[in-house]
Amino acid sequence: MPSEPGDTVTSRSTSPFIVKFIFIFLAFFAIQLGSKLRAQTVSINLKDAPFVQAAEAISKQTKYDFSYNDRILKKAKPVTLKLVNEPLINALRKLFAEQPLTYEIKDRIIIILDKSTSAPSGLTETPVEGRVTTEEGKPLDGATIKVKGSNFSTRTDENGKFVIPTQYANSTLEIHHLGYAKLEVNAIRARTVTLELISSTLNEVTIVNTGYEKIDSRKLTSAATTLKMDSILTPGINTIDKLLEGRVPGMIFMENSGQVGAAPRLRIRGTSTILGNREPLWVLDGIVLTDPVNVNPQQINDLDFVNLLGNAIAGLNPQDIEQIDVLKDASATALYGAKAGNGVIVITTRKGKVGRPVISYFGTTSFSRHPRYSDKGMYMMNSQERMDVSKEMIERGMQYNGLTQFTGYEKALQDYYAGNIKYDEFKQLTDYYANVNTDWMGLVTQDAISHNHTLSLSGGANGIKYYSSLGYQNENGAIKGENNKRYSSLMSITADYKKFMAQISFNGNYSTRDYTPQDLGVMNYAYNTSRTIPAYNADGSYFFYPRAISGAPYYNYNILKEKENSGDHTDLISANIRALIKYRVMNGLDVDGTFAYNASSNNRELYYTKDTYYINNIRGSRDPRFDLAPVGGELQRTETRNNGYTARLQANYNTSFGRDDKHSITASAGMEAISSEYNGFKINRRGYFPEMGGYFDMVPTTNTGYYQQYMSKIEALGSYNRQLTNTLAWYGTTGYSWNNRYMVNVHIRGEQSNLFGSRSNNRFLPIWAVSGRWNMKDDLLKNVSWVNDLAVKASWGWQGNMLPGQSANMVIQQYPTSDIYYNSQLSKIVNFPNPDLKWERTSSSNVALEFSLLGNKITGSLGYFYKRTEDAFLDKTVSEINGIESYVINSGTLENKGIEVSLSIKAIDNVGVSGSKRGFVWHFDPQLGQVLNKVLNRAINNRNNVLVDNLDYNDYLAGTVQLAGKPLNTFYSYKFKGLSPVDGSPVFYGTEEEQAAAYQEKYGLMKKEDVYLEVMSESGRREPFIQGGLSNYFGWRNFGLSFNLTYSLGNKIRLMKIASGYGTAIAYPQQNLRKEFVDRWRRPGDEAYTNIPGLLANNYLNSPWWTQYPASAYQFGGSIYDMYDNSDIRLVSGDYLKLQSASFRYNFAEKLVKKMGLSSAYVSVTGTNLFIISNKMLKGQDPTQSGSTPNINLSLIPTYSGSINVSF
Amino acid sequence: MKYIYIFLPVLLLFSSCSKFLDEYSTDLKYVQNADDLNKLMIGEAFINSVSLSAYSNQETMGDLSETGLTAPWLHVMDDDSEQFVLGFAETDKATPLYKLSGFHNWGQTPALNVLNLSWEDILWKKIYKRVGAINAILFQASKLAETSDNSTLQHIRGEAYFLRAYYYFLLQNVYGSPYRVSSAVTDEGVPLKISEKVEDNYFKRDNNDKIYKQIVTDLDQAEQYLQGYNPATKIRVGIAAVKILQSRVYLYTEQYDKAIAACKNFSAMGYTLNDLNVYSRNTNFTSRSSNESIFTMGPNSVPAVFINDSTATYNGNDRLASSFKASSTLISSYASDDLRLNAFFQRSAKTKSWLPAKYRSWQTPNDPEQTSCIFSFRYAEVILNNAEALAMTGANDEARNEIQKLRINRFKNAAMDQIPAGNQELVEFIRAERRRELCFEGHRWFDLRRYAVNSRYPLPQDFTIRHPAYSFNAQTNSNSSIGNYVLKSFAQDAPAWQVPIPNYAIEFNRGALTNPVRSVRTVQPL
Repeated sequence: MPSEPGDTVTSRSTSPFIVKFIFIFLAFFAIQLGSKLRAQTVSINLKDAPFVQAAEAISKQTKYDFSYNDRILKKAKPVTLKLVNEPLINALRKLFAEQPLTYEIKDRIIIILDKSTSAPSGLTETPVEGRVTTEEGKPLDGATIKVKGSNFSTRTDENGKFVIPTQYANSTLEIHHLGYAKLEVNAIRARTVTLELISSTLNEVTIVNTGYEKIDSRKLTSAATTLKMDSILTPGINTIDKLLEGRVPGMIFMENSGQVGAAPRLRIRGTSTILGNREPLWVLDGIVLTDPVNVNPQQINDLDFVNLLGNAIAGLNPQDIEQIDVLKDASATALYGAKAGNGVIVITTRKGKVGRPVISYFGTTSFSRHPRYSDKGMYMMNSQERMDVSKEMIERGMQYNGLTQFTGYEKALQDYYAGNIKYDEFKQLTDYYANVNTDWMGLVTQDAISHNHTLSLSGGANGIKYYSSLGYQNENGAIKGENNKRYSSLMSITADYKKFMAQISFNGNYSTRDYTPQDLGVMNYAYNTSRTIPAYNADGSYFFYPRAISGAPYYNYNILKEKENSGDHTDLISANIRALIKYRVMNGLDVDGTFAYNASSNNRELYYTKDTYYINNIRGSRDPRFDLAPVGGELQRTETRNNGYTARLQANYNTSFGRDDKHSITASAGMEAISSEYNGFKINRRGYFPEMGGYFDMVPTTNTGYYQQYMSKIEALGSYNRQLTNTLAWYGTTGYSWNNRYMVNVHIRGEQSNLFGSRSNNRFLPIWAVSGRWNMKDDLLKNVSWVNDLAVKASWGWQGNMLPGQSANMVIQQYPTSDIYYNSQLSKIVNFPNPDLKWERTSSSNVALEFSLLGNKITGSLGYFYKRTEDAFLDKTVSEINGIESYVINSGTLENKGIEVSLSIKAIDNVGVSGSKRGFVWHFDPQLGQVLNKVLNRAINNRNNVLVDNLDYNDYLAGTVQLAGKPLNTFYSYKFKGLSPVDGSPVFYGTEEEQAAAYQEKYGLMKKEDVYLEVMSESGRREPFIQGGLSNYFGWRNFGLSFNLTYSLGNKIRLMKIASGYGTAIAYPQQNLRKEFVDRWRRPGDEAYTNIPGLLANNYLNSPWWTQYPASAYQFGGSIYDMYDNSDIRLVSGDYLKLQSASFRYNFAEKLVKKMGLSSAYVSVTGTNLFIISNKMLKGQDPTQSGSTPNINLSLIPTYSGSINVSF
Repeated sequence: MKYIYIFLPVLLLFSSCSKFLDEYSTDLKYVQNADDLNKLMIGEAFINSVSLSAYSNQETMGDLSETGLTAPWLHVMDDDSEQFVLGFAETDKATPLYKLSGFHNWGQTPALNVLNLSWEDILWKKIYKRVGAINAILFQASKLAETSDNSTLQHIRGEAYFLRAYYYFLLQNVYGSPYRVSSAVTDEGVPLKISEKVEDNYFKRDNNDKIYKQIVTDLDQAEQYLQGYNPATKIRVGIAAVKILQSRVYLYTEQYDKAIAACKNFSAMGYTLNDLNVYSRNTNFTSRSSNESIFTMGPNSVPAVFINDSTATYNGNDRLASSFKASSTLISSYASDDLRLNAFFQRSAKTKSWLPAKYRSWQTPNDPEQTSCIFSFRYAEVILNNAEALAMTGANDEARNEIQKLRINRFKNAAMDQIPAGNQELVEFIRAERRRELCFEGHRWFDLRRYAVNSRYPLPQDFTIRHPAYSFNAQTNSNSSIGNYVLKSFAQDAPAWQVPIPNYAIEFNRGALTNPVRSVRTVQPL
C-alpha cells in the first residue's frame, strides 16, 4: 500500500509490476468510494444543537452537500432530533419540520431556502443579488454571469457578488470562470444561495496553452501535460526546470551536480537524435527562448558535463509563472517546426485578474547543509587511517615514482632517517600528524543561507488587467564563495475592449554567478587531500605543502590561498518585451499580431592572480625565453550578447453550423519571422592585477617567450564571433469536431532558415501531424454512472531535423588569424561536400486514454507513445585516404517507446459544508513515465557492410558506443576476477597476465570490437528508463501538508573512483584515500577476504601487456587500477526513491487575516532533497554522482526553507 | 474585407525576406574565387610549419601529431645517421632515440617506443589529408575556371597539381616498393585517390606504374599552369619547382632523357650555386634567401632529431644525449679539402660528435630564412640529377662537366681529373657526391632504394647498412657498444626497404590493404 512506497522502488521492480501496482491501487479506491456512495441512511442524536451541526452530520454520512446562505441560516432554530438508520428523505423531512426553512435537492446538493420568501412569483420586482465562491468558500471575483438566451452578462466583484436586473429574475444563469467548472443555475436560486464553483480537474476545463493556441483539454487531441504553478511551486527550488522533477510522465530528469545554478538535463520522450541537440525547447508566452550562451550540442549531450552556464529559463522567477505546459507528441509540437523535436515546454506568465489591486509578498529563507566527513556519502580516511597507509608503504619498502617533495609524516620520517630530527621530535610530529584531521570539507564548504523575495501587484478593472512583480533571490552555494543572485521583474498589461485585445509585457532580469574556477577542483581537493596535512600553522598562517611544477623545483600550495586568488564571475542581464494585438474582425474571425524582442548580455570573467598555482605553473623556470606570464595574473573574459525578435501574424477562425451547431470548425494560419543573433568577444589577458579595481601592467619586452609564444595566440589577441539565425515560417492548423464528441486536427508547418549550408540539402520539408479524439462517454457508457468521462485520443506526425553546416557544396572556414609562416590569411575545409545528406526524420505516434471515474474522484490518463527516427545522423569513420576520417551520414534508426500514466486521486475529500472549516483532504497524484530507447539499426556497425566505425575501449566504458539492438548510453565494464595473491593487484577475466601469450594469440585474430566484448560485460544504461513522482497533499482545517516523492529506475552507475583518476592506489604524501582502502589487501592470503586492491606496489602495473605492442592494436584498457574502477564490482544500480520535497503550510484563519487588513496569509516550512533510498552498495554516494565523471561533483544537498506569503 | 490591409505591413516586412534568408556565417563560406582557394592552399595543402624553440632537454619527440613535426624518422633510416648516446635518459622520456629507434633499426613495427608502447605514425594520414584537400581544391578550381579564369587561379591549379605529385612521390617512396622498370606494373605502391568525392570503401594498394604515371600527369599539368611563372617567395611553387621535381621523378623511373630535358634553363631563371670558399663560419648553409633555394615548406626537424649533448646545465641535461648524429661512414667520406664538412655540420658540445647543421638559425621565431629539411628543393640537386642522368645515358663528358660545376663551389681546389672517366665509376662517383651534397635533406633513403633496384648499376648483393647498438652500464655511467642492427640488401630484406603502412590504416581497411612482413630484427653481436 502507498504507505510504503519505498519497497516498491528499491526492489528493482520492472515496469509491469509498477503498472500492476497502480491497478491494484485504483481498485482499492474504487471499492472505498463505492461503499460510501451506498450509505444513504442517517443516524443522529442531537439535543439543542445548532442547525449547522445537524447539517454537517447528515452531509458526512450521506455525502450529500448542503448549500445555504448565511443570512438564511440566521433564522434557523436549534435542533433536537434522534434518528436511527433513517433514509435521507425522511431525515430531511423531520429536520426541516421545525424550521422556518425549506429545501430542495439537486445534483447531490441539498439547497436550503427560506420558507417565507420562497414563493418565486412575489420576487420579480427586486434585482437578483448573488455571490460566487470557490469550493473552499473564498469569494471568486471576475466570474462571468450570463443570462441564457439574452445578451446580458456581468461579472462578480472582489467579494464574489453580482447583481442581475429584475427582468431576468426567472431566467437561467450561466456562471463561468476560467479554471472552474461551468455552472448553470436558476436565477431564483442564485438570489438566495451562495454558488460554489468547483475547480477544474484534468478532465474538466484545463486550458492547455500550446503557445500558438489555447485548447480546452477536453478537446485536446495531442499529448501534453499541464501543470499549474501553484501546485508545484516549492520554496527553496528557484528555477522552473527543477520544479518539473517527477511531475511530467515521459520526461526524464537528471541532475548531476548540487552546485548553485547548475542546470538539470531534461529528456522528453527519450532521445531521438545522436548528433543533434537533445534538450527541449523553452517557450515563454508563445515566444521561443534562446540560451544566453551558445553551447554546442555535443557538450550539452555529454552526461558528465555540469552545466553552470545557465539555460534559457535561468532568469525567470517561478513566482511569476501561472502555468507550464509540456508538449510531448508530434501533433502538439508541429507548429514549432524542426527545433521542437525534443518536446516543447510552454511557460505562461501570470496576467492579473479583474478586481481590486492585490499586493502580495512571498519570502523564503533557506538553509542548506554542507557535506561533512561524517556524512555517509563521504567515506574518506581520517588522519590515523591514512598514516597507517604510510606506515605500510614504508614497511613494504614501496617507492614513489618520481617524487621529490615530501610532506607531513613522510617528511618527518625522512628527516628522522637523515638524522635531521631526534626521535622525540619525530614522535611528537607523528602524534601531531595522526591527530591533525584537517576538516578540508569544512574549510571549503559552508552551511549556506539563501533568500528569495517576490513582491507582486496585480489587478484589473473594466477591460484591463495588469500584473507586475519584482523578485530578488540570493542563493549561496555549499562551496564557499559560490553564489547565484537574481533580480527579476515582470510587468504585463492586458486590455480587452470591444473589437481589440492588446497585451504588452516586459520581463527583465539581472543575475550574477560566482564560482571557483573549475580547474582548481575544489571538491576533488577536499575529498582527496590527506587529512594529516594541516591547513594552517599554529600561528594561524597558511600551511603550504610543495607541489611540483614543470621546469622549477616546486610551488607552495594551499587550496585556501588558491581560492582567495582566483575567481569565476558571470553577469547576465536580459530583457524580453512582447506586444500582442488582436482584432476581432467579425464573429468567429480574429487576427492577431505578436512582436517580441529579447536582448541579453552575458559577461564571464575568470581570473587568477600572480600568486596561484595556475600562473606559477605557466611560468616554469621563469627564464624570460619561456616565461609565459612574467607579470601579474591572468584574466579571461568572455562576452556574449544575444538579441533577437519574433514577429508573427496569425488569423483564427471558428464557426459552428448544422442542427444545434453540432458541426464546428476551427482554423488558424499564420506566418512568423524569427531572428536570433549572438555576438561574442573573448580575450585572455596576462599582466593582470585585480587589486585597485583591476589593472594590467606592462610586460617588459625582454620577455621574448611571452611575446613570441603567448601573445601571438588567438586567445591572447582576442576574437569576435557572430552568429545569426533567421527563420521564416508559415503554419496552419485546422480542426473539425462533431458535437464535441469526435474531433480531428491537422497541423502543418514549413520553414526556411539562413542556416549556413543547410539550404542545398534541405529540400523543403513541411512538418505535419494529424490527431483525433473521441469522447466516448456519450456513445458507449452513457448509463454507467461511475464513469464520468472517458476519451481516447491518438496522433501521428513527422518531425525533421537538419544538422547545421552540412552542405552539398564544400564549406570552408576562414581563420581569424594569419598564418605567420605565409603571412597570409588561411582557410580550412570544414565540410567536404555531402550531397547525399537528408533530413533526419522522426515519426511519432501517440495513443492515450483519458478517464474520470467515481464522481471525478479519480481522473487520469494512460498513454503509449512510439517514436522512430530514421536516417539519424551518425558520424561515420571513413578511410583516412579520403583526407578526412569522419563523415556525417544518415544511417541510424532509433526507437523510443514508452508508457505514461498520470493519475489524480481525491482519496479523501471532506471539504465540509460551510467552507470555512475544512475537513480532512487527501489528494494523491502518482505519475509514471517509461521511456525505452533502442538503436534499431546501425549500418555502420554491421560486419557485412562496407562501413565501419573506429571505436576504442573508452567508448564502451563511457557508453558512447551505439550498438544495434541496444539502448543509447549502454555501457560496459570489465569482469573482476579477484585480487592477485602476489601483490594484491586486481585481476580481470580475459586479461590474466600469466595467460597473456594465449590471449594475444586469440585476440590478435579477432576484431577489436569483439575483443572489447570479450573482456567486458554489458552493464546497463546510463539514463534511467522509468521516472515518476508520487505527489501527495493532506489538508485539514487551515493546515496543509504536501510532499512529492520521486523515483527513478533503470540506470546503472559506477561507484566513485577509488584507485584511478581523482582516486589513487599510489598514496602520495598529500593524498587521502577512500575508506574502502582500510580493508585493502595487505599481505598474501588477504585476497580471500577482500576485493579492495592493495597499494600500487610497482609502476609496471600501469603499463600491463595489453598496452604494449602487439596487443596495443586492440588495446582494451589502461592501467589495471583504471580497469578496477571500471569493473563490474564497482557497478551499482542507480535506482532511487527520493523525497524531493515536503512542505507544511498553515493558512491564517480568515478572521485574523481580515483583522490585520490582509486578504490572505500563510506560512510554510519546506524541505527539499530530504532523503533518498538507494542501493546499499552506494554507501551513501548520491545516485546523481557517478564514478564515470572525471571530477567529483557536489552531491544534491538537502535544503530547509521557511516562507511566508501575504496578500493585501 | 478591410482586414486584408493588416497583412500589408507584414508583406512589406517579408518583402525583404530574400535578404533575411541569405545564408549567413561570419567565418563559413563556399569557395567563390581564387582568393578563397589561395587561403585554402595555405590552410590545407602545404606542410605545417612548427616553430622550434631552444631545447632544454632531450624530449623533442613529444609531439608527432598533425600539428607537430613531420616524419623526423625519415632522417634515421639510412646510412647517414647513427645513435648518439651519452649518459642515461629515463626510458619514459620522448627522446629521439627512444621514440624513433623502431624506424632506425628497421623494426617489424617501427612506431614503437623503447618501452614497446606503440605510437601513431601520422605521416600517412597527414599526407592523405593534404591530398584530399588538393583533390577538392582542384575540383573547385576547375569549376571556377569555367566562369572566370585568371592567372592567380592558374597558378593555384599549378601549385595544387605540383603538390599532389610531390605528395604521391613522397608516399610512394616511404610506403611503396622501390620503382623497378621491369616490374612496375605489378609492384605494389600506395593507394591512389584523386577524386574529390568522399569514398566509403576499403582502399588497396595501386601499382607503382599507375602512381608514377599519375605523378607525371600531374607534373605536366603543373608545368602547363605555371609556365614561365616564378614567384618572388621561395615558399610558393613556380615552374622551377615543377622542373626539379620532374627531373627527380624521371631519374627515379630511369627516364634519363626526360630528366635531362627537365634540368634545362635553371641558370636562366637566376639560380646559382653558393661558393663555399666564401662561406663564413656558423652561418646557415641553406636559407630561403640563398640563390640555390627553389621551394621549401614546413619546419626543419634536424635540430630536434640531432640534439646536442648538452642542452641545459640547470636541469641536469648536461652530458646527456639520447638522439642521433651523423654516421662515421658519412663523415669519413668527406675529403680533407671538402668545404662542406664545416658548412654542413657542427660539433657537439661535450663529445665533439658531428651533428648536421645546414640550417642554423632555427631558434629565431618565425625565421624568414627557415628552410625545411625534407620538404625543400635546391639548385644543387638539379646539377646532380642532370649529371647522373647524363652519366646513365653514357654521356660521360657532359656528366663530368656538370658535376664539376658543383665541385668547384664545394672544394678548395676541385680538379677535373679527380672525376673518374669510366662509366660505372663515374656513376658511383656522382652517387657518392650526391650523398655528401644532399645529406639530411630526405634524399639518402630514397636514393638507396632506387640504387638497390637500378636496372643498370644496382647496389651489390652484399650491401648492408649497419646501425650500432649500445647498452647502458649504470655502474660506470657509460654506454658500451653491443653490436649492430643490420639491414641487408634489397634482394634479401625487401620488406625492410619500405616503411609499413601504419596499423590504423591496415585495420580500417580490413584486409584490403596489406604490408609485406618485415622480419624480426635483433642486434648482431660484434
